[in-house]
Amino acid sequence: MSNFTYDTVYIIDDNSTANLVHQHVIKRISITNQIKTFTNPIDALKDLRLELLRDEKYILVLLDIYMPEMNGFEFLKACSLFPVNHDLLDVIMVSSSISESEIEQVFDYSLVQKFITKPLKGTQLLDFVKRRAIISA
Amino acid sequence: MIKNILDQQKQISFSRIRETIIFGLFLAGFFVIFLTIGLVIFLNQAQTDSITANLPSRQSLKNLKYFITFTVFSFTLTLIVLYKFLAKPIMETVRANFAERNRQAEQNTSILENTSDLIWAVDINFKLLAFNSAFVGMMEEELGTSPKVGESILEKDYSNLSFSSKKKLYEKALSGQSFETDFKSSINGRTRYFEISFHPIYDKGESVSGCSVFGKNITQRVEMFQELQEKERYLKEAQEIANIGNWNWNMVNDEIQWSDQLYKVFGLDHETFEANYEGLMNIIHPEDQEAFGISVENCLTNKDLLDIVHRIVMPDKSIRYVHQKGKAYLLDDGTPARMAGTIQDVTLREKARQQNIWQYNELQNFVYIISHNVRAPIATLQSLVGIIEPGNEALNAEIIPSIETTVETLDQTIKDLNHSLSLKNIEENTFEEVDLRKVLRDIEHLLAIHIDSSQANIEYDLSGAPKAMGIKSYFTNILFNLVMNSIDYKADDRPLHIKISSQSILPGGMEIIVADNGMGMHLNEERRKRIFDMYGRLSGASIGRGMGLYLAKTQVEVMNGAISVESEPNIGTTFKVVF
Repeated sequence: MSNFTYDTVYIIDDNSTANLVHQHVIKRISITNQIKTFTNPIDALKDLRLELLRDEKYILVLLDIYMPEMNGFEFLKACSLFPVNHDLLDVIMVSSSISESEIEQVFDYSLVQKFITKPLKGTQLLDFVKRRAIISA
Repeated sequence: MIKNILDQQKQISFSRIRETIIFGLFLAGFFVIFLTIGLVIFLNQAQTDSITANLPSRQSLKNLKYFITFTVFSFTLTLIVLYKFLAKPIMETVRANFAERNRQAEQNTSILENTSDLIWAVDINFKLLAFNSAFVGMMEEELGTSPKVGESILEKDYSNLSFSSKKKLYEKALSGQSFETDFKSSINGRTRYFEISFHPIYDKGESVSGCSVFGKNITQRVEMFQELQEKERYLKEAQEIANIGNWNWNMVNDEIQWSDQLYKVFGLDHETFEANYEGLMNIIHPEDQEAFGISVENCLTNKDLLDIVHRIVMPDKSIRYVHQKGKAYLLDDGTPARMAGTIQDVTLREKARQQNIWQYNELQNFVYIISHNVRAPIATLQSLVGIIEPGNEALNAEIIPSIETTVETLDQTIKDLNHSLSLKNIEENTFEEVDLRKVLRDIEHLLAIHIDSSQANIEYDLSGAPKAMGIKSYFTNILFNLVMNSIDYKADDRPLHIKISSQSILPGGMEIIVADNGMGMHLNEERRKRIFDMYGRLSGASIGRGMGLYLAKTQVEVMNGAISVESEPNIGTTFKVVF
């Protein structure tokens, strides 16, 4: 197990079943003590902003791309405008998309560290967190 | 010129001959008088001598002898002088005249011979008077024998003309008329064409003594003309088959020539339409005129090839697509002198191309839906299965309902896809006149519960265009979805008011407007498009699946219409459907 843990993991997906599943996956690999799930990205954005401004915390966001109120790209744009240290914030896009052009598109946003095609597997997340630990160490 | 010289010389010689004869007569008279006087003197002397000597006087005989000698001498001298100064020049003139006439005759013969045209002349009895060797050659070739002066021309069977019709032609010329005619000769399997002219010959300008005939072989010209006609026919056929017309614009005198097929492409005819640049511009669809003008300009200034597909408006106001190709031909100084080009009707090809683009977009859309909306529930199912823990009843009890709903979602998605694809296979000939008032009555029944619960107030104004062409069930579905959308997104703080109206718009179209005072939304280009996408929801506030507006849009487009949306947050939303 990695020594590195996130203070909070945000799970943002309009599909509540997906949120439920992702929550279980994250619980199993023990990379955080706090999990927050949102089906509306606007609510998530508000919460995330407050949390980042309040304290210096390592935060991981699992973000879906296609959601009704605000899509993943709009969410990323809004995040990049936060007046905070962006090194503390990691974003993993989690989408059912298998289109290469869409996958390439997400890396236009510097906040995005990784793209995972659904279904999300614990091992994929764990690999990412281990690498993240080496970088931050 | 030659004739003038001849005339002059003729006049000179005749006047000299006349003078010489008068002078000769005068001289002869003078000689007779002189001789008479001499004889009178002689007889007087002889009488005197006989009176005196009673015998013819020797003196009178002697005088007579002197007198005769003198007379003969002076007469001879006169003759010599006469010959020297009068007769000799006359003879020389006459000889020169003969030589000149011979020379001119040879010249004339040479002129007549120096041609492949046939020349001959006949007298009033149709007998050959003269002919050139071309005529001889023709006769030998056609009949195998040489013509002879004095033979009857009517008996020569050198053409397809009958004896009587040939006779008529010669008789016409012999009656004093000059005329031209064509005739065709096909002998020995060889067809030749002649243009012949008849000209009467006048005898001292009074009566007709015969006629001259000039025959020009125009076979080559006729054959070239026939070949040209044949080629024109081939070109015309090719143009008809390909539906390509061509044009030629002479800029120097601003003349435009259009091929027959071009008139057909444009649905015009020669009588009622004058081909010119302005006329062409009027045919071109107003939205394409500028682009066409720029293309022509580039062709003339940059020597680019003209190559453009544009729309034209036919006389019956229908729209067709044509592909124009053209080239400018420049003078040595670089100024354009002429433009030529082709115009092909490519309506079918263009429609197919647009259909291809539409289908490609549909396919993209389909792939997108497969990639997201079909794949997403499958991925969820995979995850759910992945987190099942045998023995952990609490967890499994949580997972199983999720599996059920996810499977339902997947099933519904596939049903939606199937439904939307079936909507698109509609033929235009199944369209009928739909009474929108009936459609709205149906919708009121269908939505009765929703209308009641939302306390919506629906206002209708269909007086502008109460009927539309299309499929009734589609209109019902479109309006159902639009009204349902208004109910789903009504504002919480005020009663919902929906206004449904229709009106006719030019040219020949109509529009249906559904406007509400609901919560409205913020729209940008991307969201304006996404609202009509399959599963393209802009809000999670309702329980909608994002299919309603997608299906409405699909049905509108299948009926050749277009749907658009305007909205202001907290003011309301307006959907407009145009057919």
